[in-house]
Amino acid sequence: MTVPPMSPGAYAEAVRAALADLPAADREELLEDLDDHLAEVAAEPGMTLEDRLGPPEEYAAELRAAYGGRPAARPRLRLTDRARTRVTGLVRSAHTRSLRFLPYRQAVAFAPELRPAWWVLRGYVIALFLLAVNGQGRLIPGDLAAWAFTLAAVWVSVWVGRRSGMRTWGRGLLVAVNAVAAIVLLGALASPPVEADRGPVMFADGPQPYPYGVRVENVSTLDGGNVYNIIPYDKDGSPLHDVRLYDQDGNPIIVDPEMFGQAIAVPCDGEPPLRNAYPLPLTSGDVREHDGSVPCVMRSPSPESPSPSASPTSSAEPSRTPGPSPKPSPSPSGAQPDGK
Amino acid sequence: MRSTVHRVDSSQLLKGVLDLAVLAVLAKRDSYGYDVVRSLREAGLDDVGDASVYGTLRRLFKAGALNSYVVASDEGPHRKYYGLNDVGRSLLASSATRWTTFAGTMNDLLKEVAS
Repeated sequence: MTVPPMSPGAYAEAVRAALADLPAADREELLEDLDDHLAEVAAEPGMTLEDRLGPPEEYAAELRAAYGGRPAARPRLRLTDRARTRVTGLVRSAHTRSLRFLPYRQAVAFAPELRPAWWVLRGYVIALFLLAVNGQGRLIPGDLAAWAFTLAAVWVSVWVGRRSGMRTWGRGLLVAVNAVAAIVLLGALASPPVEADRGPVMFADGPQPYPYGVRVENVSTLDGGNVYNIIPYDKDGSPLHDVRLYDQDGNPIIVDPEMFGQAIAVPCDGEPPLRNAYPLPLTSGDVREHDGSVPCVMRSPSPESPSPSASPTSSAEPSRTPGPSPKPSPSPSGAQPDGK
Repeated sequence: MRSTVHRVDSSQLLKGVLDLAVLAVLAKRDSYGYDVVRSLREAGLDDVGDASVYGTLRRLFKAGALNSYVVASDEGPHRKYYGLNDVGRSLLASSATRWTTFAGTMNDLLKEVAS
């Protein structure tokens, strides 16, 4: 069987292929004039390139040795290979040694059954991690879109988990994703995101935090003073009722009577009053139900209430029975009806 | 540990001194790859491999010991000529000194053994 002699180009191509594992820059540097050089050799009459130089693979090996020269010049492949064999060897021997212990054997036998659970958890954790990166740091998805995203991530994670025969790069990526998921999971377990930091639950321990769902971040408060109620009067000295106060941005202005042992009286047969409708119908917060909430009030105002009772108004607010409200004289410097 | 006994063969010896041999050839005159191979063989280093010489030239060039320039030829491919620069010359000088010392030591050692 006669094989036609290799052309210099084909020979050079075969050498290049045999050196494909070299870093691209090194290979380019080494093989820069290989074609011209081989053409020169081939121009010698009498013998084919392969007769003269041997098979391209051997030529490539000789080139590699001569170009690398000292062992230090080809550390890249060798070093990573050596590290990999060493690590896998360590893991394997540790595994073999541990197999002597029954709990480890049982865990190894049981572990595969846990894999689907890990796939689901992995997808969930990755989704929440990505959501957290986008500013929603919480342990359960916040809204419908976040839920859809999370479910999609779980689906993808399970799909990837069920698929076998990944390519090398895919397996590397998978290892990385698993590592990220595990780290995020451990981090989240160590310090769960504190939802109270950002949610509208600043006074969650208060008895009736903000009926009508006024969000704390959208209100103005009269901070710093001892103001826990506001008693408005018109210019003739007549008390006003159900006066709604807002700041320059349209945010409700609220006070914090709970901080002063007071509670907003909630009528038993009506809706709770607005937090920014003044004067607030306050009761002493001393009377509590078993669960710590303030009992609702019947239509007759409690006599010990220090605040003037609201009188019926034309607003949609449930009307309350007018009661004998204390009537302080208006003073130009401002109303001080309570003496508190 | 694997224990081996080395029989001296010239290709093994050559590996250690190929740099020096190539530098010595180029010290006489600038030359291109295949021409260096031929010069070495004519000088008596029959075992020298084409790929070894080519790889050595590229490595010495990369290390900054050689300069190179392309000469267009009428018949056949362009030739890349290599020549020593200052780095190459000082490398040749120090390597030659070391080789001479080493060869002298070996000669002294073998003097008593030699028939």
